[in-house]
Amino acid sequence: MVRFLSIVMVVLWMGGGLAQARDLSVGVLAYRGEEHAAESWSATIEALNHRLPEHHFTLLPLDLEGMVRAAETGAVDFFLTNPGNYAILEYRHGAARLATLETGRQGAPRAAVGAVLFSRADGPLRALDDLKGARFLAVDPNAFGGFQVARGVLNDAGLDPFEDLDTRFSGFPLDSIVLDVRDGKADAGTVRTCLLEEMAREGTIDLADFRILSPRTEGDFPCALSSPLYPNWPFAKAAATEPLLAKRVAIALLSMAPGETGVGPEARWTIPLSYQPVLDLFRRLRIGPFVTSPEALLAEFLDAYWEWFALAGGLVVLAAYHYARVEHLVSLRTRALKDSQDEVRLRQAELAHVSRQATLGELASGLAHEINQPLGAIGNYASGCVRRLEAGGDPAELVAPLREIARQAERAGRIISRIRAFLRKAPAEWRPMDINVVLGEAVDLLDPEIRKRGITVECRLSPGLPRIIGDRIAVEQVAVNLIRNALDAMGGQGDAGQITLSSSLSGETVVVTVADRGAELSPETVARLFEPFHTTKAGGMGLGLSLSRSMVEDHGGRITATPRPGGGLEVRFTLPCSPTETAGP
Amino acid sequence: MTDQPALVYVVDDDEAMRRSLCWLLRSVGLECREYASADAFTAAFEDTRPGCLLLDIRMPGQSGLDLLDSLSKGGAILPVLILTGHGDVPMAVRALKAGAMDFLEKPCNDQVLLDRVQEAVSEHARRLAEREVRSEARQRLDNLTARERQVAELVSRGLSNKAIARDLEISLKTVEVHRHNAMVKLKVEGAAELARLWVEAEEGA
Repeated sequence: MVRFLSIVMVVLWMGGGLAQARDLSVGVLAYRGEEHAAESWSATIEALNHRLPEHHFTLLPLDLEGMVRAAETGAVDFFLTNPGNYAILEYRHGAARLATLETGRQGAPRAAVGAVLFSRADGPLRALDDLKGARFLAVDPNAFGGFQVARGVLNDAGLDPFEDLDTRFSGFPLDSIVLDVRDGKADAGTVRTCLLEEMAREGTIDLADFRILSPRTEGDFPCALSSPLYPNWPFAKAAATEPLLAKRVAIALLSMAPGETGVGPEARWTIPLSYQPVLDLFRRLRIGPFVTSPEALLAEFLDAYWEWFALAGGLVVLAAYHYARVEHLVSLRTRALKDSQDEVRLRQAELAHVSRQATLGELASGLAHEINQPLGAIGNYASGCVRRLEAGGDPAELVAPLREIARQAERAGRIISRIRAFLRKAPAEWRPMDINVVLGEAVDLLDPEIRKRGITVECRLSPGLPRIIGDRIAVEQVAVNLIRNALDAMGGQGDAGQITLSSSLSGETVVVTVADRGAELSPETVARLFEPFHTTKAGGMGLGLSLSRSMVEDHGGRITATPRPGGGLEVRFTLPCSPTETAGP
Repeated sequence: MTDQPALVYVVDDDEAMRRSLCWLLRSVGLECREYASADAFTAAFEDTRPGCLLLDIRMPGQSGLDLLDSLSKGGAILPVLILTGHGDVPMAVRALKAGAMDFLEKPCNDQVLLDRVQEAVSEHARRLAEREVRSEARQRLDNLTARERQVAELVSRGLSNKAIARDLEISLKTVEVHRHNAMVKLKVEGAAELARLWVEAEEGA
């Protein structure tokens, strides 16, 4: 009992020191189907199970993709695969070779996989260059010895099997390639080296029927060869496989006798060779891990760095979201700002309109008088005409007064339209205008007021000023405001008051000044002139100058007020000339 | 008076207004002269022919009120009708106080205007006649000696000869002589006529 326990403990100890005693799977490249793979390698697996009884090795036949996937997921512990596939597994997934298969005779372990390219001995194809456009047979695009090595040979000769040759893939068995070339179904082909010799030995073909293209020799390598030799299939461990277990497996493999592998009578496992030449070949061909075709590169790259891509993608999405949100907010704020600017502009327009109404209200009696003049004249003429007709007068003498009636009616109409234009509540219309005409209209509108107060307005308007662009009503309103202020400032002075209204050109701006001889203003008052609701007038709202400033500034101009030496005030405003006007001569 | 038609002066700075007024006035046979300013009118007008002045109260330069002022200071008797615009009532009241005869709001009914003008013309005719009488009375009074004038004034006040002699400290006889001479020079008969003449001469002096 004690003895039995001891044995169990020893076994457990041994197992604990090694990997867990469990099923170990060996991924096998089943390039010719699972059955073929199982058949080829069952002997090796059996030998392993025999030598390492504490483990149980099982074969897991996989295709190329399956091998890579198994390496990624750690689904297998060992690999048995072709040199090309192994090179990728080593390069990408940390697989490590434990032993390399050697099928040749005894001797120093050496590489034994190569390709032979051949054509019919009596055919026209003698060199690799002749292969251009030829029907070229290979077994499978992923076969290492069966195609990729040959591709390297063609590549070194400047030929691309896919571009320059009419390359086709026959699939297994390889024998058909040889037979098809011999029978003229293809112009040339490639198979792993030594196949021709094996077939000749079997009596299937006559080597004399074939011409070896680009033949070369590698030491005493016994078969016809067109390519360098590469190491044969390796037995490799997966990255995660315990080194100690791997070592035991390696020892087991190397201790197998030739023939025990089951692959061939002379095949045996030998010390692992470097698969660097395979990688070099792949690098030259830009295949496998060195694919440079854009789609493949991208796929590889994405595959390798998908986490980073996901992160970067996430960041891009976040950034895009952030950008979109900022854009959205900016557009919202911009709209709000524009709305509020529009609102301000609307309010200012309304204020300007109210101010014009107030101005006209204050001017009403003068304007009524102004309209009464033509109306009175019309009445007088008409009455006079009636009386003359009733008294039997000559109708011919009525022509002149009737004309005069029409003229006076027009005059009244003009005054009314001037008032209506001044009161118009319409969106600002920006048009070119002659500042002197506008100033003249302002003076006309104020004419009754000016005459009532016995004040004269001296107009010093420079002729030929360039036109300005703006809202005519606004400019007229500014002029009316300034002239009225001047009139009000001089209101208490009785006769002999004079207001000077001038226009001139200064650079590219038109300058208008309104100067009065009103009372002297304190500097504080001058400083506050343009503030809203600041007024020195009994009934004033204090909006005239403030509004005038807004309107001048809307036109890109400036308005300033300076006290005049000897009393009074000069208000000066500028308006930029219309660009087309200043550009002229 | 004369057979000449009445002469109406129109002073208005508005050409259409003054020309139309004249057109209307002429249609009823009045003569009309138009002036654009108070100064032009002052320089041209004559106060001897029945007529009136239609004056726009609101004008640049010398205003209507100023003209009224200077007219009355100059002793003019020409009736003045003020033309005002709407809402100038305070101005019109000032004008009436300054001697204007009436005021009319523009535009006014032609009949009202013509009626007022006719009234003013009649008034002017009356004033001219009155002025005629007064100046005649004054001329007659001017022919008296100082003593005769003194005596005549006291007689016109209804004092008796005796009272006059006492007041002036002269003899009753002397009073009677002066009184007689004055009556002859003034071409009046009796104390009542003398008194009327005296009043005529005094008015408006």
